[in-house]
Amino acid sequence: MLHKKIINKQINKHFTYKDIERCIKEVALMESSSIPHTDPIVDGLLKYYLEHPREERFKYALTDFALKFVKLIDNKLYSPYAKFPLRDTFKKLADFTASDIKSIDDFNRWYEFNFEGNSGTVIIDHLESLKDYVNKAIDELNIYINQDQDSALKTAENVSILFEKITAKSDEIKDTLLISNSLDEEIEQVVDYFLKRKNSLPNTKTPEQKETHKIFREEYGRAVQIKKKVDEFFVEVEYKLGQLLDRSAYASTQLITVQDNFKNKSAVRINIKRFLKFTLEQASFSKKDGITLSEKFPLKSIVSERFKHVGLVYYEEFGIQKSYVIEPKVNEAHLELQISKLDTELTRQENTARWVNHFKKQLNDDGEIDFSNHFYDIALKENDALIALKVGFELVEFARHNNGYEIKIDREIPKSSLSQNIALWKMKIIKK
Amino acid sequence: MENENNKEVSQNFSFFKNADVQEYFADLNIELLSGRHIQNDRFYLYKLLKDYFNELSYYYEKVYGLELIMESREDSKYYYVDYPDASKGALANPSRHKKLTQKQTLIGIILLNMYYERYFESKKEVRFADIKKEIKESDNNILYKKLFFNKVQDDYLEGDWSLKVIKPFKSVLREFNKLGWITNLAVEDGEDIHFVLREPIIRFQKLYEKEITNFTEFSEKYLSQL
Repeated sequence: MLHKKIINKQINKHFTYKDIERCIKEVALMESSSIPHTDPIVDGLLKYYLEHPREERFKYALTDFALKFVKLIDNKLYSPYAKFPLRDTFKKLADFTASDIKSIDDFNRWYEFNFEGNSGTVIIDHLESLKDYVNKAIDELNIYINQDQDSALKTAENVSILFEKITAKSDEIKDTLLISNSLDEEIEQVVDYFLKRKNSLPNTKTPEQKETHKIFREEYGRAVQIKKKVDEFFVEVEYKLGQLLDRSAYASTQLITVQDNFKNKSAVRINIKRFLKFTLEQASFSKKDGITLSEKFPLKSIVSERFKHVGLVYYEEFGIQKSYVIEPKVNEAHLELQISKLDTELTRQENTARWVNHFKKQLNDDGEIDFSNHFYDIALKENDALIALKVGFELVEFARHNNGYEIKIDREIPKSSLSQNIALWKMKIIKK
Repeated sequence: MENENNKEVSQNFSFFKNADVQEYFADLNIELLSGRHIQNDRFYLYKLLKDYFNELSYYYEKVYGLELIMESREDSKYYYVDYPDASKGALANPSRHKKLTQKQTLIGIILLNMYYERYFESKKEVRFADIKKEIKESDNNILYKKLFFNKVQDDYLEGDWSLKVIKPFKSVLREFNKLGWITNLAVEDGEDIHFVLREPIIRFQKLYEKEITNFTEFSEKYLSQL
């Protein structure tokens, strides 16, 4: 409001507190709301939007930031560039030929003029205004479904006008995208020109050539960068346009299906709104559970089989586990060997005992025995020297532990012993 | 091989021999019996449903006593299983079906309404800011405020929004996401809620079809019970 008044020369560039107060009153009247206090508003605005001019400390002026902000809002509200004919603006771009570019500065200027300035802003503004049309159409359609049939008819008419505008504008934007194809070829040629220039110098360079090569390389780099930015610009425009067209296509398809059975759809929609309001009225806030409904309110069921995958070790039975006896496998050969060993040992013990008893009896009857004479005899008869040894050992043990007997050993090996494997001293056991 | 409308399908389980069925059926079965509504973003499961609709209908009817349903809304299809009118089929045991909770029912109605408010938007996105706006500024703002905050005022503390609105919404949205009624989207810059309403939210409307179609009768009957 202050900005507008300055432009209309209703107030000075440096305005007073009273001017601000008047503006606030006018805004309040426009919105038919109560008039707010001026002080807190001025305090708030002084942070970013208002300042005291140096030469007039008691007056106020709009800051640069405020002016930029007003311009931004103005652009948003009135989309000034959207009124520029898009096709004409971009036609100039289509006239661009690679031969126009003589230096990287030419190319840079061309890029900045067309994409960071005029044409770029124009196409973005056209996209913005297309977006506004699409948003407006969708908003109106969303209201449409809540209306009765007569007013809905009016909305449908308005929306169809909007759809026409959307189509016209999107066609215009599509045309500019077509221009981008021819532009692409020309830009490719420009980049190619800088590349060739960079590679034109010989492999082995003089110091001056090295310096030139460095410049050419940088210029080629900049040309590639510009090409990339132009590509990105058109990709972005195409993407945004695609999004808007998808939204508008969806809305118009929905409109066709709704129009077919508008009466039914509208009745359902109105009843859903009533149902929502009714449910909210029946619901209540509980400190414990938050939002709740009355017990009487019908709740609905849906299929819900919960699946849980748990990896468990498989047990055949629960409780005490069975203990299995494993039947050992019999090794027949080993068994036979062991049995025969056992037999031999038992026979040996039996025969030993027999001989021991025989000699004990003889000792008792005769009063003495010369065991060295019998040793070889036993070994021969039994074909087992071990039996003879064991008999000898047991007789010696018997005599040693029995006071009625005496052992006489003559440490001389008899001649008969010399031819044997086992040599034996002469040993006599005598009964006392 | 689209045979949704082909009645000449052998009514047996021989289709289980097919490689595609063997590969994806287990996933499909778990999803459907968990209550999920399947749309074409679950490509392989959706294709199986499309290709073997009659065979699978026969399977669910014979084995579980359930109906396999295909709904076509807003230019897109979705599938789910439901009980036949009078029974709950093989899932009659209470552990095998579930009643929507009071909270889910309330938020379901709010979301269904939001779906219609965005009826002409191709992507029906909802953020916390939209829910806040609905509570603070919609025609039902007084009712919403009483319900969520137990008091009516212009705005509430951030902690109250978080505890009394965001928390219950989030828990319900998690469940609805599993059912395929909404899809949770990535949250940005400290945002708490961001999702897109999917066509199967209409299933909620179908659950309350009788009450919505005969609203006057339902509301009068309900009030007379109190």
